[in-house]
Amino acid sequence: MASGPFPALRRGATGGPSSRRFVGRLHKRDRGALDELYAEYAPTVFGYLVNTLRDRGAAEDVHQQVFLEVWQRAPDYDPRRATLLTWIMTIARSRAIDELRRRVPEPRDPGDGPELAADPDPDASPDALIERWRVAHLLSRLRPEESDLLRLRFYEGLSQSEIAERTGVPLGTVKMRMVSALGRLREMIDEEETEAVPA
Amino acid sequence: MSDRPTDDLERRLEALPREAWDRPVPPPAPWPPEQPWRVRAPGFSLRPLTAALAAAALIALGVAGGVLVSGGEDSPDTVASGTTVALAPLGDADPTAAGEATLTEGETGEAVVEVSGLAPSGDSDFYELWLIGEDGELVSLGSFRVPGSGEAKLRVPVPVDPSRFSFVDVSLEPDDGDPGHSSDSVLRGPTT
Repeated sequence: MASGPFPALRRGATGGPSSRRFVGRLHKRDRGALDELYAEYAPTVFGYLVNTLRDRGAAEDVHQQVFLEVWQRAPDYDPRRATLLTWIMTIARSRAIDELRRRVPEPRDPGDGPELAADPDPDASPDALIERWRVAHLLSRLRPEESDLLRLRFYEGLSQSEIAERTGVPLGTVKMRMVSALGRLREMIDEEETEAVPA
Repeated sequence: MSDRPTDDLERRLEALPREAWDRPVPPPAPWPPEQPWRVRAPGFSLRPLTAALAAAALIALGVAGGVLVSGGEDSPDTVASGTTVALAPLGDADPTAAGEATLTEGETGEAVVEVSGLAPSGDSDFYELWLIGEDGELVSLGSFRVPGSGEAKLRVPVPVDPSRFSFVDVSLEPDDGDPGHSSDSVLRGPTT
């Protein structure tokens, strides 16, 4: 995936000349830049919204709101304040919270407050989920052989020996690739978290 | 490299939701495809008879004068900023279906559309909003789905001068990958 079609995006918003050129195109609402941005980030945003809202129809509506806002605010995007991933996910988080608040009836009196404030699953809150989806997005930037390996290990729960057996790749190679994939992912997370200073 | 233990990263990966590994396919972008006005569905054209029938339907519904122009001083031949267009049912649409589209111009021109009485979207179809010119020129403004309530409200960018177009149209589109108009319009309203 690292050699995918959108190198300007994958190198990070502040990562180099090509990224600066991309931001320049974005500021002009260049349609090609917006399409590239959509192709890169829409699956993550939509997955986050489906995961957060637990309602595909509502997620589609909010998803449209998010990218309409991206389109409207593109000329004001400041790469010094946040990476594109952080900027877009911050918008998604805000619109998801708006949608969740819209679902909760207003308390009729102060005594209703504590019940309404109760969160049945803190791990499913928009804030908790957004961090996971930032990792999920970076995971999608790994090379396919690396992301496939991490999927087998952390999603399907296979041991490295079981991965070697299933894939036919020597155990030593599996271990080497696992270290490499985790290292690359860690670097990307560190880079994202260093550059990401939410507005 | 961070000095955080790899175990922390492994815990974060283990905590990823299922959808993070199998990300759902997002809906189409809310902005129209690049230069969509060059895309025309094969065999589709705005027939004068259709336009006349649409106008007649609007008259019958008492909304022929329903093109509400802000300020009321604009020429009826143009679409002014903030123009509101009443949409009436066409084809197989429920006779009670209705809609309203408000078009604004400028660098951040947009259309705010509210529809009601439409059949809920299925798994293999969606609705699409269009501008139609007198010569059959088509501009897709975006697609949307209608929930069980039959009502939807959307806001989409308008990248063209809406005054060049004669109708606002809502079509029912099969999810077949064809970006052209399906010729199955369910709501339409004249901009003048």
